[in-house]
Amino acid sequence: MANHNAPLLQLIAVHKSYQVGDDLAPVLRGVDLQVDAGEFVALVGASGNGKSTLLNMIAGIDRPTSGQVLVTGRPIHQMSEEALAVWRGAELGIVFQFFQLLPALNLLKNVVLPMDLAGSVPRRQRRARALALLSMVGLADHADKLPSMVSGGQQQRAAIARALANDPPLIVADEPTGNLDTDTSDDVFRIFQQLVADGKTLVVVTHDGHLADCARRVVEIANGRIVRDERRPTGDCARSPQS
Amino acid sequence: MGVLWSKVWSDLWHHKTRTVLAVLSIAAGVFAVGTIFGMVDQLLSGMDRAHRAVSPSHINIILRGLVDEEIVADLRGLNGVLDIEPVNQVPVRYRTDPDSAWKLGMLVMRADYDNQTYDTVTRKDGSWPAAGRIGVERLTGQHYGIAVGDTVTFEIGGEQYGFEVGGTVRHPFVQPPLFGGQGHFFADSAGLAEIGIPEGRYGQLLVQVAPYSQEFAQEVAGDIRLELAHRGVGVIVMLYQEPDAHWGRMFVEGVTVVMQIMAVVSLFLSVILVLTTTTAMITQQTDQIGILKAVGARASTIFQIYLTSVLALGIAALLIALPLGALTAYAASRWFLNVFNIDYEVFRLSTRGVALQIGAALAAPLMAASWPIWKGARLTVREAIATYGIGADFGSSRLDRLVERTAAGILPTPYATALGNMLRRKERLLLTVLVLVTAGVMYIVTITLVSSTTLTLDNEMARRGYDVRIGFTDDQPVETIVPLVESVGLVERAEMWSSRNATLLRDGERLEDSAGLGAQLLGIPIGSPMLRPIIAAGRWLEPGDDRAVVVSKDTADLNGIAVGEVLTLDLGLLGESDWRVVGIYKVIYNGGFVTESLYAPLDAVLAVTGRPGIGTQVLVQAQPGARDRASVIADDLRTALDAEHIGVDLYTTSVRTEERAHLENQFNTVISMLLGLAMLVATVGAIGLTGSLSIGVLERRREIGVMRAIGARSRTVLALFVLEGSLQAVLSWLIAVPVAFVVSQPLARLLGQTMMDVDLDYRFSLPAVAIWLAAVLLISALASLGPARAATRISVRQSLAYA
Repeated sequence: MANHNAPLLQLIAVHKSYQVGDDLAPVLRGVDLQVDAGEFVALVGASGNGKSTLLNMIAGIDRPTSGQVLVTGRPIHQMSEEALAVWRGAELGIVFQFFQLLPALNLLKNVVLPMDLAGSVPRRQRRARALALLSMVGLADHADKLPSMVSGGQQQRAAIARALANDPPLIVADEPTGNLDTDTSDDVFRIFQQLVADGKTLVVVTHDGHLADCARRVVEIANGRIVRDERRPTGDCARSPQS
Repeated sequence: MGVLWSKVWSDLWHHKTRTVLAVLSIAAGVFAVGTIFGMVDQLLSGMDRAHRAVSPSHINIILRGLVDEEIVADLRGLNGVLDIEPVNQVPVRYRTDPDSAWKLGMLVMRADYDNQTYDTVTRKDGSWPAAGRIGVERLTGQHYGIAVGDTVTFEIGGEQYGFEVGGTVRHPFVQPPLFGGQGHFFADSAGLAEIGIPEGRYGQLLVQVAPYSQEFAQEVAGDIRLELAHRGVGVIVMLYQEPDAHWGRMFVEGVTVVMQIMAVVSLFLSVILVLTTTTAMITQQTDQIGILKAVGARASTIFQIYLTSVLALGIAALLIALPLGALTAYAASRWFLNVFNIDYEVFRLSTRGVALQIGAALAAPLMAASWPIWKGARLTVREAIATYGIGADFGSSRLDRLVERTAAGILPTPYATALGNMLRRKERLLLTVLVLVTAGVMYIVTITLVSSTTLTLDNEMARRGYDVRIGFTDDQPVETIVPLVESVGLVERAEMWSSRNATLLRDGERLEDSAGLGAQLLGIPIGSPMLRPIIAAGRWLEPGDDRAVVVSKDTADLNGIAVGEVLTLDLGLLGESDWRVVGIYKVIYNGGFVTESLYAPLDAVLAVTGRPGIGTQVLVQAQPGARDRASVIADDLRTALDAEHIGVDLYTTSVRTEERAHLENQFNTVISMLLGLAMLVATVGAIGLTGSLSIGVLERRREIGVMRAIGARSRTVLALFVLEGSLQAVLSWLIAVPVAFVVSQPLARLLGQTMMDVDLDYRFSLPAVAIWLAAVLLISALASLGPARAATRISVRQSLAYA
């Protein structure tokens, strides 16, 4: 259940513009958004309207031209790159559209990597925890394989396991099913639902209507502004026979 | 760090081509450093060690005539003389085969080979000379194929004497036959008596002075010369040797200075390759850097892991280059020292060479890689993962847009594409082209040095109107010699000159001659076509000159002698006389161990000697069309002179074509080394170009896949990369040529002075420019074939699937 008293995530009057040649192209035009702990939020909208940019603000990958971005009360828009890297390792899990596993490390080591970087999990427990996470996403038998040796869906599940390595409270995902087939996408949906059930806060950018249906809150972005913010009592991940 | 160490190892292992290229790049520079610096240390220390071991004389005096034990004892009593060992050295003609031509050689005699004092010779095999058997000098035996048991026939004074070779002997101070040295043989005093040199009479003195200094040795030598002159004994030449430094040190030092510079250049270039490769590696792994930062890695962590990769490459390069460099340094030192007749059998490691190699392999790549790695580590996550494969940064600047417009307007699409691709990564292009430019400049400068050397020799030979020059052991009448010489076939004309040993004085003080070997007053006919040296100041000898003298520029500079000055010449028994300096001449190259010549009118010199119609050497011009047969003429002349029992002095006898050949041999040794280094640099350049193009293929996988998806054939893809390589080659050539043009003149002059003590005439080599264009295009074709073929083997599916 969401806790409305302490928002986990706050975007306050966030503007973002990019220099394109001699012009300044606005991408976000004064976005205000609050996300409570335990919410599952889907950011939807047509391509080029600012969804991924908004997600990058939340993940500290990009900075607003003006406005504030507060995550667990911390103004991440003011943090240095070094501080952001450390913060991300400890407080945030990121799942990318193209998986972005390190090709030179096997799945197990990809999951151990954030633990090594953050140092919050004792060294002796890291391997076991990584195996447990891979088991949770159904990949325990593939732990010693390189990313190039498994399918896209398996890579994405491994990426989700990596995102959970340091048990972060917030997980963001940018088009996590963008490169997956229907069945594999369903696997990802189920994992996300389980994460939310376990108390994680999930913010997902998606074109996938079915994934959006899984979310309990849908925020639609158009032309850099939030045009719709719809909360539902429950998410409905069941596919219709036609989807 | 944990699993990141796995990434370091895995990156190196799974990108073998890149890893191998990077290791080879570093290894090439490390190898050059280790070989050359190791060789320098071993060469110089080996030479000096061998030199000290033979108790070198400080002054080696070759006499005109013989002295007995009494004179030697008197000379021992002169101030500063520590001891004198009298020996003999007789010029001979020899052959080992009755049908072969006579060769010029030297027969050396020691009174007691088991009790030598100075310049000790060592027996290598067989026995010491005795009882009708002689020894052959080792280099002579090797060069001319003379072994123990062979018979050598000598011709002296028209008589022939046969001796069996009983042993091989090493003489520490013979000029290598490769550089024009004569064959040397050894006899005992009985052997020399057999050919007319009585026992107890000597023609050469080996002297040590105490306390030693170069200035004191020259002073003592001057005293000895004067004492001998007062006894009617002339000196042909005085050779000085330092007690601790080998006589060939100056030549080797000059060569090694240049080689060390080239080694540093090679290292610098391989460091540039490391910079290129590291930059490319970081570029390739930009998205991974972004991911690492996204999951919590600090910049310092990223810096550490990539620097560790570079360290691993350096260690691998060191493991390859260290033993190879050490072995090559030893082998090269051994070969070089053998050329100077020095044994070098024990393998030695140069500490300095090893230390420099370790620094070159580890420190240099780390320093070079630090900047691109730090730049990469400082990327933000957005910068790192926001690049979507195709396009890179081309098109963002005015230059790019100008290139694009120009290329699209005048070039077919593949060429235009190749040009754009080349400019896509300007930093990498600059670094790759820099290596090729350096190789090109080195090659063109080296060939220009060859061209300048040839021009210098041509010009110098043109100033020498004679083809054969023969010096006599005793004064000879002109009326006898000239008709005799002109009667020999192919001789056009002959001219006699007269020389006397001289000491330069000014206000009673002795002046130095530039070579420190003593001076001679050399009388030549005014208007002689036999010699016209370059005049640096004043003029050459003219009709009407009497007591006029032309001195060398080196001696003039050394003593501050100016045109118009009056100098006193001490001619020994002939007394002192004043001569006015009318000109200063410039020596290009006089062959090394030759006394300083003070040119004066022949009539004036004969008047001073009081012996008109007498000369000490004859200069011979060959008939037109026969100048290339000067060696044959020289042989015939010696035969004719021997038949009349006229003694020929080896040190003042020369053949113009042989002089040129010996000079060229010395130049060629050095030039071969420079060419070798230029090839090494070109190899480094080829490796760099291969690496750069390979990285380009990896970076543009998706682009290549898209091209093939829309219809590009394999040959189009192949042509793109070969063209890109060719464009880089042409670009490097366009830069290298003007740079070479600017630097080659001062460099050629510097190299000539440093290595050969020669003031070179300059000629830029245009053929080298054309040859280098062909060479660099060939290098680029070979370098680009591998990457180009790899590009054609990329499948559409593989390249477009995100991995």
